[in-house]
Amino acid sequence: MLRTCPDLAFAVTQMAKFAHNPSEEHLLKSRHILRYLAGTRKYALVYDGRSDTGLYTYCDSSYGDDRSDSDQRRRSMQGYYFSLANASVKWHSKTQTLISMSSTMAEYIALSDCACDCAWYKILFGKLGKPMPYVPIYGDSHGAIFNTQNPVTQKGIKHIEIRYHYIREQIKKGEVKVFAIPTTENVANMFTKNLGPMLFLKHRKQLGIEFYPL
Amino acid sequence: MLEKWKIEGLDVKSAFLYGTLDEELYMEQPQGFKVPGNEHKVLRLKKAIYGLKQATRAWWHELDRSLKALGFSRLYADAGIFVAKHADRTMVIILAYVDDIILTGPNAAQVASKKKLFMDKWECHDLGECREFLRMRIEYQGGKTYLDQVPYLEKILKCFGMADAKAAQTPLPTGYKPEPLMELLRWLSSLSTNR
Repeated sequence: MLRTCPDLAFAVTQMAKFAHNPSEEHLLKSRHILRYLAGTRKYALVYDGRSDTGLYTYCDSSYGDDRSDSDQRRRSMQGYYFSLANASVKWHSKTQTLISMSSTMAEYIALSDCACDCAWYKILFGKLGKPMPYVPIYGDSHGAIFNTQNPVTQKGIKHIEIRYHYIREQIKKGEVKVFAIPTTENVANMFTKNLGPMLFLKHRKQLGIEFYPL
Repeated sequence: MLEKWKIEGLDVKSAFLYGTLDEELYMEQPQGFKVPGNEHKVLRLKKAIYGLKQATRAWWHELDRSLKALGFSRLYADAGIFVAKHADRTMVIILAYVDDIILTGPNAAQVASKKKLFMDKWECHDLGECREFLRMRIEYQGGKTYLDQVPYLEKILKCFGMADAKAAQTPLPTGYKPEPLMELLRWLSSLSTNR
């Protein structure tokens, strides 16, 4: 079901972590997902060809709230999605592989992973005869965005691995641009946290999932 | 899709049987089809068959070669997308997922001509305007494209007996965070019941 349901991405990733050793608790929560699906039968991803919004992406991460690990490593979740013609075309929700020392570092890593996908989309669109000047990335961490644009080495980010500085190069080359938005406006939030109904329904609409009676 | 491009669907019949093998492979004679008197002999494969691990790649090579002959070139960004560029800067795009093919482009006449060439080369089912791709249902209405998986969803819900379930607002209960603590609780409760 994940192919057309970006709203499920977070819930399914969380449940999949227990696929090797599920308890009754997880079975119950998985049935909750099915109940949600039963209620959203009449919803579809809606691509509006007339809207001229172009490709953009929202990026977010949580900090250290993955407690599902049995060895309690407290890793962070990252998530981003790409939107084209007012609906999501690619989304991603994943536990980061390394342990972040600050929320800024977690966001920085997420931005960098997002920039890799931006580069692919830029190549693809260029080959299909629709070259883009740059891909806008929206993030909500001012600290991480500051660090992507200023090549300073402070104490807090010295230890970030080289490969995560990829985003700096991409920004310098003008391939992507990063913009700051308020946390409540960041749609990618729903790929990193279990949101309440208010925010969830608001963000779901922005993902391009709309009521569609057949 | 962005500019009212028409999407045409095709399904290649028995695609894997077209693949040519570039290595020496042998198989035992299938049961019921053994040649009398020669039961001990094995068969050498010249073309790919279903169930062979090489079949997918062999088919892709075959497709790549045929599309090249039709004037398409493969994108380096994605091995499943082929593009034919025309002199007037329009193009026809082919998207291939194993044997499911989608053709699209800004010019409907060009798409139709390329489709005809493709169907002359391979025997396929013509699905007309693409309404289904990889189990996703596609609908067009008022310039918008709708994408969902309702037929598949109904099947899943029926399979788990949840077709008439009470709808939930969010996929996970509000405030729920999975914790490994459950393991400990389960172990503790098993201790207390055993005594």
